[in-house]
Amino acid sequence: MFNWLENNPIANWVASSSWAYPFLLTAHGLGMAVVVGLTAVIALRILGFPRRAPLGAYKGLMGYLLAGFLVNAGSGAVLFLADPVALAANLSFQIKMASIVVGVIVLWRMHVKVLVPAAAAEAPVAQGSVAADGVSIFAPPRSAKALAIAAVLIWWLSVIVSGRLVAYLSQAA
Amino acid sequence: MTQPEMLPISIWIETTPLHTFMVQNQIAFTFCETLHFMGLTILAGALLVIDLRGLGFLKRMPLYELHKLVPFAIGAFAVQLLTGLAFIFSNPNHYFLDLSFQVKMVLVVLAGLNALAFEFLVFRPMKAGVPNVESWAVTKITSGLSIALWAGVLICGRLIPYV
Repeated sequence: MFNWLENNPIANWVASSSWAYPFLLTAHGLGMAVVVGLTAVIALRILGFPRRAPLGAYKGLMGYLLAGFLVNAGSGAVLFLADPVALAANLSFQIKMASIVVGVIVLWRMHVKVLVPAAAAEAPVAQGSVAADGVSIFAPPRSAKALAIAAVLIWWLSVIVSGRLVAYLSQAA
Repeated sequence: MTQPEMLPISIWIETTPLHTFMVQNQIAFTFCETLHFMGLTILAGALLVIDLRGLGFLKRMPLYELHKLVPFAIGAFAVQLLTGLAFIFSNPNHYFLDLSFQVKMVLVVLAGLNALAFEFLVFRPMKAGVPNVESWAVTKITSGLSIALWAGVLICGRLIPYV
């Protein structure tokens, strides 16, 4: 029944090329560094480090984060098609996919509820030079800190841990 | 294929309790690998933001403030160093004779020297009030090199099992 899936052209390419798999994993690793790294930097700022950097300016990181995410979605989709039947049945893989959906929702809320209002509040300051005294810098609400911690924990605990397990459980299979 | 000759340092490492522990506990290796991935994200995130700013992007972010992320990057690097040593102790000869590993270590040293160059040739003058540091060529070069070298470190790390 899944025969056509297992013999899709992408699966054949990844299986027959000695470079496809390491190349895809490398792209996936670079994308992960950008996505999780920038999430961590934004979260650190919401938690207060460094307190006097204007929070609204961090909205500018979302474009880079999205680019990293697209690299991972693309490389991840090809890696999935290389072995779709086994992966779809793999519990770690299912947990990882569910975690990514939650992670995207949390990041989106962080963008809409924290970064966009911060950028709007700081906009008049940004027209001139950034205020050195930090007085006009947007202070995030307490709920933003929960979002920030949730975003990092979801990427770390769910996506990276279950991603590692996907690799190990597929080897074992 | 003939077995590669054991380097003297590998012979010594394989007599240590840490080697025995890493070999007997597969879970320890997986645990260190997960920590290595988490540390990587902090190191990459902090440096990427500073380097993008150094290259002239994210102009609304003051480099002086972003530089306060450096202690996080150094802390994350310490995690990388310790977990990386655990990998080496698990199978020393494999790593020492691996081309990707050798290139990775050279790139880590170069990235470290480049970070020192950024600190002393760019950040310290800026902090001391020297004008126009942001437009200096050395600012752009060290920032660009930082991204390229750390990306190289990550790529070589990924390729260790394949080359």
